[in-house]
Amino acid sequence: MRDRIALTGIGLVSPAASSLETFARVRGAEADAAPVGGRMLPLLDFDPARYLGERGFKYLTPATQYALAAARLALEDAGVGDYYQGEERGVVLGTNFAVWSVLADMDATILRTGADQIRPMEAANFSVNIPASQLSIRYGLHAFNVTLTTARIAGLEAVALGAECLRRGRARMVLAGALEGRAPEALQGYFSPPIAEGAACLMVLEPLSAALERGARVHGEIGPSLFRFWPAVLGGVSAPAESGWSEGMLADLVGPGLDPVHLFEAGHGCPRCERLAQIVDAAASSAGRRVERHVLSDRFGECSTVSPMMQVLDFCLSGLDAGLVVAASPQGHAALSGWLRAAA
Amino acid sequence: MTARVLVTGVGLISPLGHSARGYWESLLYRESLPQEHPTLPPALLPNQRYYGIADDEPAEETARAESRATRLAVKATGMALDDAGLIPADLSRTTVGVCFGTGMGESDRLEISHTEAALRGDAPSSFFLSRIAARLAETYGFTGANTTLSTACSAGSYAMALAHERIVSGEAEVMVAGGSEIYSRVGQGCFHRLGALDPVACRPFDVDRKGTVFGEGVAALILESEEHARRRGRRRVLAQFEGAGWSCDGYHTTAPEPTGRWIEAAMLRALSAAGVTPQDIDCVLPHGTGTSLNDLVESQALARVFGDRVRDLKVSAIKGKLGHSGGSAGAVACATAAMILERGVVPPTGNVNVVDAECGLPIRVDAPTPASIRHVLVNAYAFGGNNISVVLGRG
Repeated sequence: MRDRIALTGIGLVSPAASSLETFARVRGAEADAAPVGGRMLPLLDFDPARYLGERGFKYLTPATQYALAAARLALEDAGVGDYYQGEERGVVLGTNFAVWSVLADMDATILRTGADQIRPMEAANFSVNIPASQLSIRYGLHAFNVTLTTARIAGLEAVALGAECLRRGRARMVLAGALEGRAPEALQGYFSPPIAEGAACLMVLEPLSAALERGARVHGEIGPSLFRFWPAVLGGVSAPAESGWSEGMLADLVGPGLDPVHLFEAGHGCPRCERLAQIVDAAASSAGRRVERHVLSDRFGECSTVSPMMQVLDFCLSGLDAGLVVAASPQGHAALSGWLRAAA
Repeated sequence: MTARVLVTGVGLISPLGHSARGYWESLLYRESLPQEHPTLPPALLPNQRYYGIADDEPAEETARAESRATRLAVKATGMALDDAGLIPADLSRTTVGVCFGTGMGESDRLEISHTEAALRGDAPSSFFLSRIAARLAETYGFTGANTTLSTACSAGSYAMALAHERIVSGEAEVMVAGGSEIYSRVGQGCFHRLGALDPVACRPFDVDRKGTVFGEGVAALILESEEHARRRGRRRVLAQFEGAGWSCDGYHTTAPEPTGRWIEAAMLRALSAAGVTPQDIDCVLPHGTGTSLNDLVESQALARVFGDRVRDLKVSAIKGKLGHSGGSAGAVACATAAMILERGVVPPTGNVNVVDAECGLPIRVDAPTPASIRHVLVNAYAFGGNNISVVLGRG
């Protein structure tokens, strides 16, 4: 049997919520809330000094600052302290836009005034793995350090890879999740809610047995996941079965008896995400199961790889026994990520 | 028992040509030097030397429609499939996934968009890093997991390792793993600003080395479960992907951890994962970028792992002729390791005049070395100390 993996710490930095408590409040307040205006949700109240101290963050990109802050919150939430040695701790992050605006700014500098005007202290920031690297430097995560950049689903991939690394004994604790900096303006027309200026959502993962042994609070347990590349299916031009989808896959993900199946969605107007949810819905119906859909409030804004992480939080706060987080990318990536309620 | 994962095909597009065979011949026998990239006045970017892929299509024109990073990766994947004797149409019932590494992705289209607002394409093309892998799957109809790794200069090896794990875990039977990196103005500018560029050539382990030199490179490898290869009657196998070891310096964004303890850990973990000892390794493809401290720290870590045996190793630092292809470099090195294992010849290291005695590695610079190689160790390191070592053995 596969080792069970627990989620024991959550750290969130985003325009609408930078704590689990605020996240829960915004999540629940949707019915009374006015529609979100504007095209970009700014991170107005993010104060890096609060998380990172008064010095030492000046040369870090905004996305790196969000990630470092979310990591600190996650590690504090897990209460993990020095329970694990540096060589037992790894990090795997997903991002699409950590360096998008950084590259644009640097390129503008090169084209206008020359590369010699790039500050040496900031020159390494062009590389998209620097946020994760800064996490390892600050928090002593030496087992491994991986950055995934698959469109929109890289955060879910990171969590699945983190869990797999724990099962393989590559680490005993993994910091996994997603971060984003400023996204391209072109995306603002693609998704219906506004785009978040940036965000990070990081999670502490441990083997469930170790988490229980050290008396940790468990937010949830990672279930099986499925990753596919289905541009034709998500574009609605071919049937899921043609790409190897079967109802058995659904049973593998949520277990044989679960009814209803709870889907956790972003609700950001992406037709490919909607189509993926419909595919699961149809598979459940034909197996005689009901589907209940839980749509994340659009007050959180669309934030690429971080949005599916917030769907995970949505599940953790739901009190349900099991849920399936659904995410797709405009390029055709599909992710179904199973989650279970905290073990007693 | 863990399933064996085989390398059954290789596609390579590099400064040494548009084919794996051409690459191999040039790596063994021809000289290779970087050239100037004539795009900006020197006042804006003083060092524009790089090892480029000669391309018969005008880069600026075609990049408006399709990135070179993507176009060349699609071509290299076609070569790899062909080399493996696989026809995409025959794979419709097989789960084929993609793991590709890149540091800068479709940097040509991105950089054009900084100067031209009206670039063809819409929101989806904003995902400039993962579009390469997505287009590979779209072109060849691969519906398995499709993942892009951007662990900077070790991404190509991480892509290989992740592809290996997807096969071992049963998530896929066949994986296309590799990397694609093309010239990036921003990348070149930042390396220049960091003082990390050698003004002459990439000279790994040379006593006069002064930094690295960027090189374009695209590699695609077909990884396949032994069972799948057997079922389709595949006899020719280049190599076996045996295992990988990961670690992170957690020390500095650009400088290596000076004791080398974490890269040593990655090597030892790779040997352990592959089920071999240092005595079983006959050849090492080091990361070897030509950067002063990095090459020294890697040499010292190799000496600790292999002891006196380090002198008996065949060490080939391929970046001397290729330059450093960043997020693709690890995949290019794995492809080279597979070719070494299949052909029983170790390429010489290019552009090295005098091997640094302090590094103390047995690097041959004059001619190829015929040798019976059982296992090859491939190292790849990156900004942030994102380290990986992998072991390939005979197929």
